[in-house]
Amino acid sequence: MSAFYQILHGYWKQSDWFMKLSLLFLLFILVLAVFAPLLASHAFDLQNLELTFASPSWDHFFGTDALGRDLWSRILYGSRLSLSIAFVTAMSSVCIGLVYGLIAGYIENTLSRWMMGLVDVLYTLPTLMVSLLVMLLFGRDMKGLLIAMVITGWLGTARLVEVQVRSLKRRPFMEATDALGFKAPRKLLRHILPNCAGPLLVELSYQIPTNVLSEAFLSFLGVGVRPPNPSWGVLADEGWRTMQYYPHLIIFPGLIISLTMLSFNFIGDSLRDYLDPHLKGRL
Amino acid sequence: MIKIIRALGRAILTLFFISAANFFLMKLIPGGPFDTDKKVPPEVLRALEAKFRLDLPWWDQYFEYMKGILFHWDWGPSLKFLGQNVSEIIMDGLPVSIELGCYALSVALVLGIISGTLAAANRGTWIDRVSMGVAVLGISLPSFLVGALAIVFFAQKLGILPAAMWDSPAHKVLPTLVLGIRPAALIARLTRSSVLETLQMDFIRTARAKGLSRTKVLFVHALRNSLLPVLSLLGPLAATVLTGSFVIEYMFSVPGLATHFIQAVNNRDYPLLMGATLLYAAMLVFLNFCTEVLSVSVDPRLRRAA
Repeated sequence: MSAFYQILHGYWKQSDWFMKLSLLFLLFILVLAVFAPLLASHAFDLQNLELTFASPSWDHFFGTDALGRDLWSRILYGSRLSLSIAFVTAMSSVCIGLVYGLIAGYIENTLSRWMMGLVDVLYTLPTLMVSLLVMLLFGRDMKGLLIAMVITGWLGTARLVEVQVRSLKRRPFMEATDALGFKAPRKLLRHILPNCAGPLLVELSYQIPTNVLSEAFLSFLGVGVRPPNPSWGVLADEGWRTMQYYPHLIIFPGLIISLTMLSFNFIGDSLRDYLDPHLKGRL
Repeated sequence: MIKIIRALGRAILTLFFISAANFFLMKLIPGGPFDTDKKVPPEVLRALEAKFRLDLPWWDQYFEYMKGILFHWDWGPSLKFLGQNVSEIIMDGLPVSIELGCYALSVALVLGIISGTLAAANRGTWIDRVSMGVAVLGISLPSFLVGALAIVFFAQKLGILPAAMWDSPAHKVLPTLVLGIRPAALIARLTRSSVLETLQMDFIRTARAKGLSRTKVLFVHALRNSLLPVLSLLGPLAATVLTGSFVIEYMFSVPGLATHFIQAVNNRDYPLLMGATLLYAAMLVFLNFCTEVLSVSVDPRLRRAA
């Protein structure tokens, strides 16, 4: 934990105003999501068929949708759902990738070559396609969505951690742990793991926006989060259908999604530049 | 040569693994294709299963299936589109998808390489800032939003381009551009960093000292040596385009393979899904193999390090 703290502290101190702004915006969205029940002016599924497609007003900040539901409240609850899905799945897939990568990098034998070969094979497949197939197996709903995103998300972390562990093993301090006669679990947990904090943070800062996007894609395609539950993908899907006549239904959700994705990507890029100046600007 | 053979072996092994995993995944999925609300008599069900060879053990089904594809180009019957074979549906959608993908990828390569090179050559100036800013936008914005904006702006406000379908060249402009934006942004960023790295090299200084013009050094000497990372990214880029095509074909009603794929997901049409997945995987594996061979043949340094 202290390894994470050190990295983030150093990063915050050297980051410029633009990065701080991005972080503040993400914090703002997070506050909106967490306090959605307090901030929402209406229930997210409260229909009002006499007031459909209303333009933004004092009563409905962002207007209303095809069923007269308050868009502001739906966006708040949508952020709550989209962000929690992204956080939970990113966290779990990074954890799985971490364990897998630690083991494969540490044992470094035929088995680990097969393990990483499997990762390479899965890596060639497009995530959206795999997600759709996995969701057929586990159900085209929330449960299937979560499983699909965890299954497709851990590959990057596994690769990154495996490379990191293999290079760490050749460092003098690991030789010292050999000389001191430490056992494998102690070496892994006390000496290798803290040195993986950097790659893990970078991976997490990429996996979260990736998962925000996957959820939006899948819900947009009609699998994943089901209406009337709002998520960013569902809102974009609903808004897109009527955008010709009622553009506010796509503008507001679109703005929130875009700004969030931009902030995440700015932070991810600069965090990686900070941790690995050699890679500056790559991809 | 050994490297190429090894790469080929890996590609075949990968394909075998994917096809088997794909096949057994389909068998694991709960709910058969003949599950309907109506009660079907068991003998009818058995007859149906026998007709579609669903009564054989799994491994026999798998080998029958692979034999059919490899020797007779027979991908099995579609379970939902009666009387149509999967191979017909695939042959129907695949050319459209490949066309769209190739256009998008070419646009992305041209745009990405040019803007990335210019950004690197003018590092720190407004050209660099603007092109990298656009690249971040291209990576961050979800394609359905870009698509929506494009439809509103070009199709509805200006009315110069059609918003859907896939008939005349004009129909192909919007889907191509929207699909190409994300890979273009990825290529631009990679090209920029790669060119920047190359510009530090000694041979660039030599070329400049020789009296060659800046443009010539940049586009001939620097760019040629910077394209290898871009080349090796072609496989992942194709995967990006493929992922994007699911949303783009859906949005713009393009009658491609991705549209059929989504329909098949909703219809539980297993043979079609299996075929489409296998085909996608085969294309990507083949592309990865090609990039590997190309990289080795383009860069002599890679040939020695076996």
